[in-house]
Amino acid sequence: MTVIKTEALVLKSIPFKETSSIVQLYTKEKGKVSVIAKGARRLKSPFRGYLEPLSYVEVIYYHKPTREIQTLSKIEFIQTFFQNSTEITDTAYAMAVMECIDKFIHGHQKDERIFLLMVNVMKFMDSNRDFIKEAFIYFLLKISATLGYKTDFSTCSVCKQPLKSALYEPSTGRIICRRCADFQERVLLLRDEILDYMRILEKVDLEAGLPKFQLAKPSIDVIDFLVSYISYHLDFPVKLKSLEILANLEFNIEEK
Amino acid sequence: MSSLPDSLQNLIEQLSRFPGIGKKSAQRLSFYLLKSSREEAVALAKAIIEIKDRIHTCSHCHNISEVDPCKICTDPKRDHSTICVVQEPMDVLAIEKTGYYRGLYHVLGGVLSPLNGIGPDDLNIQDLLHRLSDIKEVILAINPTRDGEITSIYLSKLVKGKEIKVTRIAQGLPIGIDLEFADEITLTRALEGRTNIL
Repeated sequence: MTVIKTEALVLKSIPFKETSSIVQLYTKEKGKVSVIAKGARRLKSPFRGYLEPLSYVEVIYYHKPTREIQTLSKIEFIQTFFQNSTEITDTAYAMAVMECIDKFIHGHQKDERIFLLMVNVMKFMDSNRDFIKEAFIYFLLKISATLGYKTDFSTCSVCKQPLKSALYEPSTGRIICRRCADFQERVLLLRDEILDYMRILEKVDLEAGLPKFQLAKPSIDVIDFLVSYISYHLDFPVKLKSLEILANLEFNIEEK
Repeated sequence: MSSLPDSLQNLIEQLSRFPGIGKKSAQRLSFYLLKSSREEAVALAKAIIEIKDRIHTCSHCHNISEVDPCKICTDPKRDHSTICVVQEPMDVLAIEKTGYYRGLYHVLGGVLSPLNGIGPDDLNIQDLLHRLSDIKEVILAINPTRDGEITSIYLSKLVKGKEIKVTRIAQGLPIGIDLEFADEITLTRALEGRTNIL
């Protein structure tokens, strides 16, 4: 058994037995790790308060390779994101980042780039609440590229000709031009303004800020398209519950 | 293969399904029941069946009760202009133990949880909105977790504009804790919610 000290983001926390919690972390050193925080739900537990999703923490835990769930020893805050948020939308997008990591990454796949991407996106989201949707689109583009499924918004994946507006085929995961489309399959239209925005986001430096995502014409949901694209390449269906719930909550508040 | 008689083995298995009861504790309880009188065992069995037959949820507040509406909802001595919103029936019990609160309750049956796909339709939120006609204050006594926070914000947005005061129970340090062991968020909340001594 070794003692691991590492930075981590709390993805989710599940109550376990009477007083404990099982916490899913994405760590800098070991990738996705589950730890048990014994007695964490007791009133005077030293773990209490640290185990909520969106916490950026430093953890010390006992690691045994043969065990699926490791044992948490110590935890301290580095930063907590969205602490005083009164906007459900903000928190829902931030939680969607955690949900993506939980669903896209399987096993103990260590990748420091993923960790840094998460931390940077969370920091940006927390201090640029007006650009939260843009930051999430940026995150989806970057995580897709980091996982090895970089999107090509410049050329048709069939004829390799430059793209102006394009079509996305969910059944093949391809971004193609109109000439190459087999309209027997369902396709989504990616207008030129969407392609332009994606090309800008791919090159942009997060620290310099993100351009606002505003479309002149009604269009497909870009987030749905990107999740569908990643989902196709991961070879299993992914639905982001955080965003589904968000849509439901927003609808209810507007209805009121 | 177990050397225990089938009936005893069955009881151990049933008891070990209880929260906080492991195989060893279940064995201990089963042997205790085996040694106790028949009357004691029958009384226990009867009590278990009775709670299943007689306890229902109140159609007003969704708390557990033997009558509908429950005793709290129909008690004329209670303040019918205040509703305290809680997650689970156990929370009603905890607040009632204080003896401080004399208003009504509303049990949500959980909290909104975007990561677990629990939305407003899975909770008793619509019934709460239907109860607000004569209410002056809604107290949100929801656990201070991330999901709890989302639920509190959502409820306060739904109630906003109805001329109802929406408050939340204070957050901070439990009695008897050493300040140095408190986490930063709890301490910040405690400082934000500080009150005058005199």
